[in-house]
Amino acid sequence: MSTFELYAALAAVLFAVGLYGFFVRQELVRKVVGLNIIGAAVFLLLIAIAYRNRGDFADPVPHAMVLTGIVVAVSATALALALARRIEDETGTRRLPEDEESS
Amino acid sequence: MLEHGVDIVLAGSIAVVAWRVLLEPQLFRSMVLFIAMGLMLSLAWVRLAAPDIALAEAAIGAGLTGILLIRAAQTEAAQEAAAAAREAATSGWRRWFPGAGRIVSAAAALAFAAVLLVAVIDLPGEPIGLTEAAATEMEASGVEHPVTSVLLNFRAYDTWLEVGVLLLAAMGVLAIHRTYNLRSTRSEEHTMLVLTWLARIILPLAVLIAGYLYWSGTHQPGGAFQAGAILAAALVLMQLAGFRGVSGLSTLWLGAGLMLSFAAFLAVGFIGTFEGEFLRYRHATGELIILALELTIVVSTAVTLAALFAGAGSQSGDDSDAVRARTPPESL
Repeated sequence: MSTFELYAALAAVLFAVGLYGFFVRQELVRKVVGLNIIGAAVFLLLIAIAYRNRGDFADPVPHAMVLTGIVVAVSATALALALARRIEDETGTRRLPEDEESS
Repeated sequence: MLEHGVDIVLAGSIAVVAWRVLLEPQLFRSMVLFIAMGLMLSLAWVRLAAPDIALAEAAIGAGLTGILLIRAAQTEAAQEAAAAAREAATSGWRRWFPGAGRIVSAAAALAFAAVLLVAVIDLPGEPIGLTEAAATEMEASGVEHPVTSVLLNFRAYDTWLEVGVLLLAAMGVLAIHRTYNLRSTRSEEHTMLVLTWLARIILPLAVLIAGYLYWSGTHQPGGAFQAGAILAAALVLMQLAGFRGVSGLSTLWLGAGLMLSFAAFLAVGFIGTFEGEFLRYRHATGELIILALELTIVVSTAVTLAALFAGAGSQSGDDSDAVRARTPPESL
């Protein structure tokens, strides 16, 4: 098993963990955490592929994409948390109305 | 073989910690585990020859995302116990139904992971990246670090739009608060003397480190986004220590800080159209343009990320009293 394969497998595992958390957890903050884990998995896969395609240095194009992605992820997280906070203020709950009914 | 052992231990630890983040019933602990996972990922980036990403992950992925999440966990801590009790009290078919939902969710997640694995195994044997192209073209870009040359020259268009996403997120947070600046956000009520003292020491150091990262981006790992993130962390620390930071800025200055980089890219692109193409500069002035654009990125990233922190956690003026009554402020 090469370094690339090892980290690609880790990316798949992280993706599954994050997706499961996003589906199952009902608190909005936890859903945001799940999305962040999915994001980390995608970044890991891209960087692993960049490592596989390295010459004198690793492929810089996926690196630039992931750098962009990390900054976008944190701003999306902040926006999502602000929305979650607003929902909590308006409705008094930290879940979506649909989830609230089913629990 | 020993080197490979490091990777195996690291990958295994990350997977276990990610699973713990998900399972941990206490929100605050879950967030701390998430930060730990971010730091371990930084090590993975180093192992995968991506020092730029490692710097960004440590400062943004683990640092700023972590503090955003911890703040969310903290303000909602009071409701935690009630929610947990309600979850435990569900009975009858309702208890059975989430079980079925969980099995379906797990099956879907595993199916996705399997498809991802198959896609990776199916990759063509020959490496087909853009490493060669980037290496041969780098000299024309004006900088000597491949990632910076991609970010600010070859794919400057993407970076411009990324700066636009930052601007949009900040606008969204301001819109949620129905305000034009962050002056109405609640400032810290419980500030520790140690924190104030620490902020005074760290702030100049952070400016120094940010300056170094900004400059080193032209020829070695580092660059504008990492530098901006370090400055943003310093601004957040200021805010936690009771200073006003970005929430003290007027609408005009806050707006200028948020928009500076987006406007600079637009201006450079527009001027470039007279010489040829939008956002295309491959001549002797390349390095100067890149350094100027990076400086605006440092400022805008720092202001935007700090503003997102200030806006995501606390309440706008008219709501804050009601909220405070419901969830009493807690200190760490």
